[in-house]
Amino acid sequence: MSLALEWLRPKTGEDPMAYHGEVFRYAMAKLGNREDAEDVAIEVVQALPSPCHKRDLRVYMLGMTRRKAITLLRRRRPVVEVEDRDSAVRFDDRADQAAMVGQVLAGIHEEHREVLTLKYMAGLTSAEIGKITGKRAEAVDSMLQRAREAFAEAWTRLSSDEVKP
Amino acid sequence: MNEHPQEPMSRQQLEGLFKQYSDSLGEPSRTPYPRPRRSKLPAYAAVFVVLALALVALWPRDALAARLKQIGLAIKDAKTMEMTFSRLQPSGRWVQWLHTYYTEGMWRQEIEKGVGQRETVVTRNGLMLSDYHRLDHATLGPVWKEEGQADFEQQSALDYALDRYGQSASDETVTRSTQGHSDVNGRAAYAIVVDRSGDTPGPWSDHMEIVVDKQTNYPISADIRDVRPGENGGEFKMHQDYRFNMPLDPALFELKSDKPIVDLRESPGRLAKEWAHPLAELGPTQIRDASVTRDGTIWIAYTTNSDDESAAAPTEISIEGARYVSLGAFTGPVGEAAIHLQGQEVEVVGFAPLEVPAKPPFVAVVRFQPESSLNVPPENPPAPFMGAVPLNLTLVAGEYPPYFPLLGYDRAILEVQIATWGARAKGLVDAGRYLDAAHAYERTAKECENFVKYIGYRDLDKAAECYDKLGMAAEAARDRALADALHAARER
Repeated sequence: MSLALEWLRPKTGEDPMAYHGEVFRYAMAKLGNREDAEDVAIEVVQALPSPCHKRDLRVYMLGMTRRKAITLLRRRRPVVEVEDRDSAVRFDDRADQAAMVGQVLAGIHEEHREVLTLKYMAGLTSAEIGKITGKRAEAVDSMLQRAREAFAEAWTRLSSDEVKP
Repeated sequence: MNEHPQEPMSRQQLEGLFKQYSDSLGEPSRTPYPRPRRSKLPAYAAVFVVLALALVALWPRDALAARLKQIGLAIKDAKTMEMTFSRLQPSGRWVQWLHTYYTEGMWRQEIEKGVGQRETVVTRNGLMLSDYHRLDHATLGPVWKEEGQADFEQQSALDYALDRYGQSASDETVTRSTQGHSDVNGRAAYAIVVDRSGDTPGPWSDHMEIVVDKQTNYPISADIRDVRPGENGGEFKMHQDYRFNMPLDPALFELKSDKPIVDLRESPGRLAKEWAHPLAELGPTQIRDASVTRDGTIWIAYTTNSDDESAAAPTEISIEGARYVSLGAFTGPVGEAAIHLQGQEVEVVGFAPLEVPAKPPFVAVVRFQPESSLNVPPENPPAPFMGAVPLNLTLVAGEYPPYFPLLGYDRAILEVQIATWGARAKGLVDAGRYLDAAHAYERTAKECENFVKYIGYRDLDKAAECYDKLGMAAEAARDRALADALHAARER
């Protein structure tokens, strides 16, 4: 058998568990379903050894999450149900604002939602987002710009409906 | 990136909103669980060394750690390994569900995950021969693995174990000790006893006793009692036997089969010939095949630029007088092993009629939506249709189109009937046809018997719910009792 000395060396890699919460939240933003998001997060963490010596582990895990979420959504194709949203949106506290962000995100284009969550939830750079989405950093920048505009427009539309007299 | 001159919302505002949103999602209630994982490959192949590794990592300074190190070194130097893994089903039946052979970077796995999932996998030199015993062919192709899995064929058993070592919940407690053990086949032995337990996601524990040859430091056997929470939890007993450095028949590791072998490396060339003339095109999307099986199920194969989210994807079938439901996308090998045609990814979607027609249709209108619309949560508004194309359907014998094996859809083939009846049942529920839906769910459970038997309990529960809606209490009770029995036995 081949020699395997790695296991005797001090473990200097990262524990994928450190990113479990982050992976879950990204999956949640993408899937919109807590149970599925938890399944995906567990799968991603468990697919990796601990410690894991992979470079840019966090970005790698978010990329895995994205692909697993897409696969899951594709398997859901038959289930195209439009559920009534909670229309009781108010704009008077942080929890409501967070709920509104979720609503606005759900209503904008998938590509926009993706870059916004990767940028502002995961805190990735454009280059890192490009690694995950297979786009050049410049293209990510352009996409981000459009995504911000789309988000702001949808946000204004939703918030003004509810708040402004 | 430069700030846009007419930024509609400040970066700080946006960051603040997303932080609130991110915080509102909270933490996952379930955490990865320290147990072997489902895998196409033998997740349990070296539980002993997994354990050894865990112990070395957790408790590196004691005498036990030194012993474990010796064991690890012995395993690394082994020329061959043979391992059998049996599990006591809740029904009370022991099932040997894995037999693993290893020598010089080559692996052979004989896997019995369920009655319909007996599979032999041989891996060597970057190639994998997979033989599902219920299929009429074996499949040869590049090794493919789930994302994140190790390149196990290049590893020793110990390397393999290293990669299989999963995550531990932070609340895990571990106790371990070495104990005396009676001789095994005349050879002095000792035992390593390990107990682990935790409370996440619910109370769980496992107890392992590993018997080790005192002279050679090779593990001889392992007994594991595993108590896990959850819907499919319970107490499970497992037993492993190891044999090291015993002669193994080289034929075990040959990439040969008594059945015809489909070589996936030839698939792109063969498909390029058969699908040389697309049936229809919408932008980068090309419809390559439109088939129908005798039960009226329609299969659309298309190629597209999977990175182009605006590309058209077939999402709906229209046939006068019939209502169709989508079976979703079918999948085979992934990553580098995925089958491509002229640089494009091959995709296959199926559509099943709610009613099995007396005669299969010969023409269908296929409607398209952007690929991106397939990747959004179902609560999103449906994307607009991009177009509709009438297609002549080719009638094929059997339950699936003949190109499925060329795409490496072996497991999908075994799941076709489950997917078809399951989707049909859901469509019937949506149509308010609860009696037909109940029958379809019962049929789905029946199809599960050819795959993993007990998982049909979910469909029987759904059938019972349909009967409830119709006030058919006796039928509902009958199906629930069947579901309970299936679940209790957990027979695969």
